[in-house]
Amino acid sequence: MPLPLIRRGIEPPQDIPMFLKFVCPPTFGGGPLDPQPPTREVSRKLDTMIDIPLPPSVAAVTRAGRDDIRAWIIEDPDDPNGRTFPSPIIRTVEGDIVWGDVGFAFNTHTIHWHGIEPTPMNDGVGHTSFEATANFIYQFATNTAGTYFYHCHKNTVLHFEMGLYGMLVVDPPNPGTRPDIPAAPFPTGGPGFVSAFLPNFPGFVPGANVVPYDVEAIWVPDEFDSICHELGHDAFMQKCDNNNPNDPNNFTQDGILNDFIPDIFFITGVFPRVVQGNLNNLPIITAVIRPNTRTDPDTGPPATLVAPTVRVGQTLLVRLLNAGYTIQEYRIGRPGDALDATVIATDGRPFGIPGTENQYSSPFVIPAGTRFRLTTARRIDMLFRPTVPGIFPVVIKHIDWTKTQNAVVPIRELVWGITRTIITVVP
Amino acid sequence: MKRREFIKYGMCGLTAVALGTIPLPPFFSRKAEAANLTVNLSMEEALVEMIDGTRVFFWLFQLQGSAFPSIPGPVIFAFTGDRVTINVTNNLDEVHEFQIIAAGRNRRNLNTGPIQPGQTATLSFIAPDGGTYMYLDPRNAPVNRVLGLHGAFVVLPAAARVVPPPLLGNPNPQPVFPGPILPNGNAITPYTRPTAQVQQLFNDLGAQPFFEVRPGEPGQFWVPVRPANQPIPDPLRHALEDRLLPANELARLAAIEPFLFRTRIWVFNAVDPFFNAIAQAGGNAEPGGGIDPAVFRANFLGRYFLTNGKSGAFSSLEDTAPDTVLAAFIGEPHVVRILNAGPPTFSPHLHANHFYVLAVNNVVLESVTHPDTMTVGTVEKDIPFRRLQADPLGPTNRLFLNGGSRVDWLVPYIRPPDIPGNRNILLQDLIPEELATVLQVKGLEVAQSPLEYPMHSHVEIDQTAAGGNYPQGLITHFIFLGELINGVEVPFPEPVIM
Repeated sequence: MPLPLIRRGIEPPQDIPMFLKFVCPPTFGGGPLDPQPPTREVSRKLDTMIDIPLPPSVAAVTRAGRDDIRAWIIEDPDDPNGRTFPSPIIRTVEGDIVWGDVGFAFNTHTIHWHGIEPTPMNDGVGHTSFEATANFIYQFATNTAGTYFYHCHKNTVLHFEMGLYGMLVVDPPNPGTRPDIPAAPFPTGGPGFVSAFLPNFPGFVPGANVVPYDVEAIWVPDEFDSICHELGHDAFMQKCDNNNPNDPNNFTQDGILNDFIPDIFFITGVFPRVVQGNLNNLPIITAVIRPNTRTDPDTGPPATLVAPTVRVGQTLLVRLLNAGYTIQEYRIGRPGDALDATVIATDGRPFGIPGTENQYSSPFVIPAGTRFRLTTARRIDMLFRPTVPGIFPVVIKHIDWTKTQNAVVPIRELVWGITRTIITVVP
Repeated sequence: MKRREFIKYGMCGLTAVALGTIPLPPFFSRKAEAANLTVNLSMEEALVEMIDGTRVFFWLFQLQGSAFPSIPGPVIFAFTGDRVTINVTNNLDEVHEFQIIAAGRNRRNLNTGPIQPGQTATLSFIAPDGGTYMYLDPRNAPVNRVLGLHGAFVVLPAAARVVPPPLLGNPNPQPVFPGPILPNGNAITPYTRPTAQVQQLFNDLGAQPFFEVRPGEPGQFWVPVRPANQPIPDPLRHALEDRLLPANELARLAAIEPFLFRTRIWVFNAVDPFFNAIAQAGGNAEPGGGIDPAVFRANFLGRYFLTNGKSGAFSSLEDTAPDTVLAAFIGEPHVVRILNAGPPTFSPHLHANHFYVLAVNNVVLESVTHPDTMTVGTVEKDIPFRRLQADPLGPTNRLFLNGGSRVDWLVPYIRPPDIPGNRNILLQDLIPEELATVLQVKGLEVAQSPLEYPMHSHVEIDQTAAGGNYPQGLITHFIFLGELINGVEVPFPEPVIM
């Protein structure tokens, strides 16, 4: 008796145009559609190729074996220093109507403003709207202060990996309770205000539901698979047979994008040297990122954004995004350290603001040294109020999303790499 | 008994089996008292076509009376307090088992123990607290589960039996669900014992300004089961009336459709056909059977990523996945129950609306966060309940951060909040240009109305099929068909296609 066969879908599909849109996204340019007067305008251009120099110890353990790594970036064309990885931070103010004028130097791309929720044609997903061939002005509001990011949403598995992303921070308006803090948007690195419902926190502003911070750190731990960075733009993209979008041959690219083997580990574009481990002797452990860790002056942000220095009595805000394809496990400080993290928000939604759609949650404390995890694209915002000077370690494990380390101890997770930074507290 | 070959079934033969001719168990009764529910399942072999046409061998559950096994196993619904009897017949060539995770007393697993080939085992129990449970073959974990032996067991609280009396037939346009529907004044939730925060959230859906469709136009409350007087919502109605799916899928859909009125169930899985091929050749995960579970865990390389057995376009379009796609009107909140049977840890991300995380592994959360992306882990990484209670972060915050293999969301279905412009203006009047946009693709006209967004896992590796072909992986769509105007569903205008 033959085995029953369960088909993959109905054939032919009823709604050929929708199927075609999914398989072969249309192209478009221009915009904005249904324009509203903007209060803030930004420009971005993609993609720009850059070659980021690697420390020799990193190059020595990569599978591709080069002394630099090719990245594709989203450039700020208005800024002579706008060709960095990650892409320059966009900061807007709560309530802004933003026009994002996005140009495309090469091929078709999109920008998805992750966590921002506009109409589909401003959402930057090709197969639910279009891919842009020429300049397109995206229009969206930034109605809730918090931590977001932006990235290309075409062949995302490759384009996000290649580096086509940057942070998008929405700041609350300045309530005017701290003369030393300028008007929003606040300078990256601090000081500023952040939405948080912490009535007992120093400087809490009732009504505005914000607290001031003195120093801001941005942690975007990520990892590269150097082999992927040898690939071309449309590597392993599906074909598009316009006569029959449902032809299984559209989907028969036999690629390697499901076999992710990270060999370069970094935080927010700071590439530390490797001190231990290689692909045959896992994991790859990188040197501790310190405030004076050298970064490439052309492409890298300063290490102080990753390894902040804060005085006793000051407030440190850390915005954390997992931009890798691993499960990341974080440990901030050692057990017993006076460096508890207060988690105040996730994904651009502050916890526990009364009278709002965010009133069902509460800020909570992660005691120093307590391990916790986030998966790709998740963000949390954390506040620290250090009370004693010291150098506090931050350790991040990059854990495979599926595989265990080996078949001998099948319960042991496969840790590909460990990145480290520090929080320095001075008197 | 070796049946290792396949033939291609013609669609004509399938569609000739009329809807309704396949006997299905009574999944629920609309009566107020607890019911006796008997479900007869068997374990069968089948080939499943992946999105690139590759046919992969699976072990699957089949409902007695259904013409085909199903991937994943059929969803079983019950109400708390129902007496449930599940008979499981092993029609495979090796020993299997049947388990429902944490559905017993004190969150203990319910388990039949080993079922020899050709034998039937019975699990009889009282349906536990409302929640999202996974049934599976726990033997040689995770092999038997990942090779197809898994499905969703959904329990609704007993209070959900009592749905509001008919409101249809009222000629005056008014909200269909005007208020909280329990005698104590609370709105119904998916849980027998909701936390205060979950209860408040469900009470607020139809009442608070921030859940309004627009100022003065309230959103609806969540509805656990389609009231008898309400029509079947569109993607489901369209699929059933126009018989878009194979007959066995249609019969199953017709049986469970009332539960999908404002609910979706997404069962995730990943496929590494290397191991399926060993099973097809007669192998299994028993000692000496050719699949060592430890080797499986260390070497599993996902090549296909499934939501309810389908991927890419097939799990995203209304016609092919009416029970998976979220398609509704602004103001109609939906509960989404996510179960991950696969070895990977996924990171599903919803566009256009942040969602609320209600429960993880049936622990109803005391702090209901509002993210756009959430971890859905593998069963092997689930934190045991006892360890959760001792965690320095507490169960709620630990589960928010680390996730679990079963995660319940509430999707509020509010107007995408970052569309600029006056919130008093109907969306159809605010964005007429976009709704009228028609783009050309290869000689065909593609409309931008209704508003369509993706839900996809953000690990991105899982957006591939056969190692590429982005975005033919773990994805479905989130569609706004229109908005409520004076309580009535008004679709967005369809663009004029020349």
